[in-house]
Amino acid sequence: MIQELATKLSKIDGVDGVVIAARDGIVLAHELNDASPDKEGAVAVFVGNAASQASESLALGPFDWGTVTIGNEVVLVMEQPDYYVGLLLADRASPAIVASSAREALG
Amino acid sequence: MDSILSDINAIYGVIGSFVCDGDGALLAVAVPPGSGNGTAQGCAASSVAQIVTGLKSVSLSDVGEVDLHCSNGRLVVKVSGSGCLCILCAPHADVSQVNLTANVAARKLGRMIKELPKRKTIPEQSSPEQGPGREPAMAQSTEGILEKVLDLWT
Repeated sequence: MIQELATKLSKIDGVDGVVIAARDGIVLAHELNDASPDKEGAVAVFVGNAASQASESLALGPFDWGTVTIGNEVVLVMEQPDYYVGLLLADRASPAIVASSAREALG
Repeated sequence: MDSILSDINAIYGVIGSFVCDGDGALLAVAVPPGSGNGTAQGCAASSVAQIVTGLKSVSLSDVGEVDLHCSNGRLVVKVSGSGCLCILCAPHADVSQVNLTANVAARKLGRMIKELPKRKTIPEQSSPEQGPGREPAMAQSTEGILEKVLDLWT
């Protein structure tokens, strides 16, 4: 079921790859070609955890989604109750539009 | 640094901004009263530094920007050299103007941080609701997760 979700998310326009990782860093599913699932999963979990801490400190409310630019790569991270979703964005993809489409796919 | 932060804070939708070094120590703060005290920004700066340091370790590449969207606002982090410019925005902020101004400001601040002769940080104020043990606990928690993740990866 999680793998089906990863496949569904990978079909969103502007998404080059998908990784779904549990909060402890275990990769549950992925749709990645060249990138390392463990590395991308680690990025998603790390950003998600630290983002929750930062948003709590600054009273910004619950973390919704975020992007991180590492080298030439942009990763969009979304938090779900049991796992984090990392979406590798294509060049010129709009994070806001992809996040909106991904939210619909996640239900 | 204060004048740069004032320029950023003048942008529509920007609530406040602060600068921290690579260790998460606050170097300058321009956040209006009511948007958290020194401890809150200190905790956030610590989290930001952990994100940047952790991602560098995980990906072995430089982190350029972090943009966190939350229900009540947004935190835009521009990484420059060993410092981070953190901008607190309202949900309706003019993001393109924030990015234009922040990219230039981050470069200037990066140079300033590099030229600092000795670390000059702003001492954090403790508050009744956030005791002195809070920040180390958060740091340990994130470091523990990073360690586990790195173990799994290697």
